[in-house]
Amino acid sequence: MKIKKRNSKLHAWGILISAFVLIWSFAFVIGPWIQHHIPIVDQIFKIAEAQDINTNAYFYTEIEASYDGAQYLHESVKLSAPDEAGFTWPSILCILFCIVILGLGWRYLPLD
Amino acid sequence: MAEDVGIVKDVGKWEWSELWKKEDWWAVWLGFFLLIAGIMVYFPHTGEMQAKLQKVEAQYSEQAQRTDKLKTIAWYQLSDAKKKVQALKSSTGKWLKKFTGKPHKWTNNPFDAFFKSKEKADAQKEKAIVKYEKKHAVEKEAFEKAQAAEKAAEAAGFSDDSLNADARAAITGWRDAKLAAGKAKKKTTAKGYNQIGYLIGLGIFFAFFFGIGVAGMGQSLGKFLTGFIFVFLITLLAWLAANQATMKLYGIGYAAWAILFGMLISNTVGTPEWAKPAVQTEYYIKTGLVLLGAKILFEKIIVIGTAGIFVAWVVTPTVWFLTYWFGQKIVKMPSKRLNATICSDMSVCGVSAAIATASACKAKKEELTLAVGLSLVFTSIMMIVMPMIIKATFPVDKQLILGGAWMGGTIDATGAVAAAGAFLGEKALYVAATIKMIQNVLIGVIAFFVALYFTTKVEAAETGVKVGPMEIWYRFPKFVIGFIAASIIFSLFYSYFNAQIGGLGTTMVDKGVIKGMSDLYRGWFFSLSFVSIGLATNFRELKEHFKGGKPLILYFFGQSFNLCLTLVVAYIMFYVVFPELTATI
Repeated sequence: MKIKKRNSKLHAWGILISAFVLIWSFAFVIGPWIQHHIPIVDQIFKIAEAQDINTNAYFYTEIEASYDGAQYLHESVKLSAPDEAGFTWPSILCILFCIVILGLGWRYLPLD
Repeated sequence: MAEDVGIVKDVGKWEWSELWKKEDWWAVWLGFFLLIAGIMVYFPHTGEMQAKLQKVEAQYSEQAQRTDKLKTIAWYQLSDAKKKVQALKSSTGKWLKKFTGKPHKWTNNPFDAFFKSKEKADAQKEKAIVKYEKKHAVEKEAFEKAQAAEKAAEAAGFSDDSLNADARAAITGWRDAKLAAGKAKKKTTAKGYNQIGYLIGLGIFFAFFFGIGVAGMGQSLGKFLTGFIFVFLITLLAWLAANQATMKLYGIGYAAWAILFGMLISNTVGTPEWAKPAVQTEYYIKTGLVLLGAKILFEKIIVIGTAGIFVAWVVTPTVWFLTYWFGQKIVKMPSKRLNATICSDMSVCGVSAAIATASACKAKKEELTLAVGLSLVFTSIMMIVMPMIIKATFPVDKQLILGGAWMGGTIDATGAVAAAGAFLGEKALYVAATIKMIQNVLIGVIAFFVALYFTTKVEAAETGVKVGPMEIWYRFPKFVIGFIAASIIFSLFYSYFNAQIGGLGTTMVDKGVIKGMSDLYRGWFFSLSFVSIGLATNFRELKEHFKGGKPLILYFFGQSFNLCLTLVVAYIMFYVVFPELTATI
């Protein structure tokens, strides 16, 4: 019984260590191999690195490009198409449209 | 009864003691504690920031607005100078960034994530300076060309289309060179660091920060503090893996590692009993979500005009509903909560939306794990495949804006959107990142809708009890109130500051309280929750949820529909309905 328990513990630790070895091999062997053998992957990664883009950011506030992009686009619209800037009637209509879709969803989504 | 394991349920009656006995309320108190701390740190600098912005405006504004035919050099200089005015650059802001810093990027030696000597930093700096000097020379040359082209266009009163086009091209060339030089310059500021002391301090701070709530809820503080050491160490390990150079490039972030490490431990050697009191998934998640609420700023949705709102705010809920319907009626998903979580995850913005929705509909931990896993896998694939498709099939003149909008509306994670956009060019990067940002604002709306729908419809159908207004209040996940309140309050602050002077909202809110306080903690809280999810997830149960590959079918259908609808709508909006707006980009 004791031996069985010890074996199962060893087995568990074995799996855990193997998993970490696999992760290590992705970081140092498989990942770089894919990068160097698929040109587009290498290109995208090089651009992301040169531009200092945090590729694993989940939310917009985690990357500088979101702030820069928003400011650039907002100022562009304000400069060349000022009538389109800010809360215009069509933009308000879009928001209302979204609320209507949500309302319809709340009413008609299937419960079964 | 077994079904209830891993779900946080609100009792169907109101008691005032809930305010200090329920984790939902503790999440609101702790979240707002940090937000108020952020306000106290940054808002006293308002006058100083306003003065800086006024100075910048006085310097460049007149020159910047000489013409609306093209964006002049001064227009960009104004924009660049405004970007540099940030409340978080105050001394307290800098200290907070250091204190809450995650392990740094490393390539071969994991110790580099925690410690870098001054000598090593200096050596890196020297290398970076050589690279920067080369790029700076290119930038200087491009700037001179841009100046000459702009002068020629101005001499003709900006009325010669050909000269304007030449100036535009030369200025774009200068911007690209400047962007490259700017990024290279950043690397010349490499400094040595020792993060170990800060990380120990942060761990202790978090232990007591959450410990107060744990004690308030009547649980043992001592047991929590002991268990927290284990949870925090696994969280550190997740950040260490996420910041390994290769993993970082592949976009495999902390969420994936936190879940994976947690699951590996719990399903092999087992989660130690003494660590279990600190495995508090919902508590960490909900606190992080209240902080996330402050980032949902409604004014953001108008930055790219109606076209952007339509693509993000009309397509997204349409895709959500159709996919949910498909999941219930065609795929016959066994869990409505898993269905809803996958729908948000796929149609809104991946991990953040999945967390918000799963908490709002009280999904199981395994359901959130599955949804996040699907999102991470598809994000990595789409980040590489979509720019390839755009390059190969889109007309050249539509690659940047249409391609950018398409990727921004469909790829789940912001980092992946940015990387894929940057591959096509700066304009594509900006359009993609902005569409994603507008879509991110929808998280709050969708989370509120999901909470309301599950409270009033799904739970009512499950229990067979018709719910009245008071019952809705009893059952409603209260942290959603904190999430929405934070969003409304900070949206009002943002608009208030912007009304004083353009750009002050970004300076004080975005690049103040949000980036300088809320963001610093939110990432940690979510990673603590993902570690907890992993430590409490059983492979067998996870396998059960994946039965028949239904979640995969659902995600695949939803994302395919999303790709088609977003492309069609983006084309119609940017090139048929608002072509003048598109021309300004």
